[in-house]
Amino acid sequence: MDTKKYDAEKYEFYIKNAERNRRQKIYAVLTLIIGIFFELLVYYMHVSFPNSLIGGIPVFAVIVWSLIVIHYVVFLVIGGSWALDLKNDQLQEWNKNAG
Amino acid sequence: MRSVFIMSLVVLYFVVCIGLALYAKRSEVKGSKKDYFVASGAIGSVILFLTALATAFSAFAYMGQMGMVYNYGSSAIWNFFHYAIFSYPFFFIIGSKLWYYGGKYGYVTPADFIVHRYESGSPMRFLVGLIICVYFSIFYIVIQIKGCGWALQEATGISSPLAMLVITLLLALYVALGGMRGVAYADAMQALLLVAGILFIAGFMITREGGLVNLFAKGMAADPTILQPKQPFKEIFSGGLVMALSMPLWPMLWTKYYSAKNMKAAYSVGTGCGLGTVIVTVSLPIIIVCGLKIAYPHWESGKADVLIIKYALELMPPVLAALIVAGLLAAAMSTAAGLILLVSSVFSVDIVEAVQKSTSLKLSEKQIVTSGRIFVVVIMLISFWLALIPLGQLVKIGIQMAYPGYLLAVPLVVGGLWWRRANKYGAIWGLVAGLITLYITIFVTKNPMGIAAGIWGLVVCSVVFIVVSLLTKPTSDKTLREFGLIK
Repeated sequence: MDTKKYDAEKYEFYIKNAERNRRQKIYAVLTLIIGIFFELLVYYMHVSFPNSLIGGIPVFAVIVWSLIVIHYVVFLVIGGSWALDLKNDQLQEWNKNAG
Repeated sequence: MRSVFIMSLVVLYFVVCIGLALYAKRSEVKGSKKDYFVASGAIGSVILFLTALATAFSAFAYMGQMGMVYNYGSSAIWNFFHYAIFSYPFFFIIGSKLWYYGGKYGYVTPADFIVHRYESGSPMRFLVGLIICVYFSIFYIVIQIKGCGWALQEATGISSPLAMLVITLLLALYVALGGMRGVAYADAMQALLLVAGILFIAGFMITREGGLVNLFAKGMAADPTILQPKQPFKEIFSGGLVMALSMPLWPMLWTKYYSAKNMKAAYSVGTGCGLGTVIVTVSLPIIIVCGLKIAYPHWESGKADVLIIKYALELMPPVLAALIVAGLLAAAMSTAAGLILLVSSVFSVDIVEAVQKSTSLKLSEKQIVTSGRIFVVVIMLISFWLALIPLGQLVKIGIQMAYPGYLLAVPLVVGGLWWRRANKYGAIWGLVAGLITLYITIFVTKNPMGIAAGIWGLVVCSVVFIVVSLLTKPTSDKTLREFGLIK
């Protein structure tokens, strides 16, 4: 493996790549937006208890489970992999040749 | 009979831990500190996924957080939910960069990155290495040992000091033998046990009460205020943010980025911690707390932490009770192992190696690794001793400042990666100001305006860091070029 060549390519790919950096900025901004909506939801449920949707455990549980599972799958697994451009990363020569 | 069964399973679990450390030792690159402390950056995504999950979730996952949900209702769930919402970009974006620079420049400890980027030797090694990594972490090792000792005493009847001694020796043995690789393999097994334990107890409660709907109905009947938010919103918001923003830079997780084989593996640190949040801290406590409220409706709030183990030992069949105890041990020991290796690496690399560079003392890399193994044993003996004595003021400071203290690394790392004006003066004074603010807002005027101390520390640290950096000499072009901040 040509280490020097791969070092230069890795630097371009992981640090200087404009497309990767753009994706990461979008991901950070989306986190902030989702975070603001999340805080509003928590605040609403907090101040309007017990008249809000979370008056009963089943409804509360369904809301919490749905939100966290959807968020994990869509935002963390799919979104994180997109933000890091993992698909493209796996195609790079240094990953193909590694170990 | 029950205690014999539990003891047998615990012994089996111990044997597997040692076996995994021995297996890891076979692949060791002898005399390499990078191999001992970060497995030569060769750990793949599946193992890192599991090891991150096991490291991030300690005995608190079984005891403290169930106690919090028991006491604070939905407030505690929303508090934990913050981990999921706010930590992911830090895990992915910062984690991938730390992985890249860790591999490129051969980092072993969190201070390695900070010292390199900020061109600052001793002051930074002292602040980041000794205070943030060692002082804030060592008492968490003690807490994990105490948790294991208590659980083993309750489950098997052996005395707590003896149980703690056994745990101490076991941890010292498998961490000293296996290094990061051994810890990672043991963590992988422990992550499965940790999650299985929580799943089994939730499943048992559902079956025992005749289904999920009945469990919820009976829980509500046992305590109609079960879900009532019992913490002020500002406390949920700020407390949740402190944990969420600091989590990706907890020092014991930070070194996991360095040990990743490729970026996909570094990404698994985030997905592993994320899955832990989904299952262990948010989803299942809703079920488990209903079961606990039905069994123990009027339990003293200050002692709610012990309920989950009490429930397992009193109401579950021996096989399942043994699995729950093993799950608790796995949660506690995996976190402790990560912390022990971290503290040992700080002493060996940030202290011994740094001292020998500035003196005539010359140690080979092999000797540095040997010193690392010796430090593991010494740290464990000190932790065991601390577990036996009453907690003093210094210990309380260390424990309460730990997670807010880890948060102070965020401005330094973000500034170091993206802001070319960030320099060592800003970083040092920012950290010092942040630590002083934390002390005041934790011990003098507790959580001013109802906002968690960690947020005050973060704000003051960031402001001082930015202002001092702007007023003082920038970092050299050579270093900025190494981090891609100038052409």
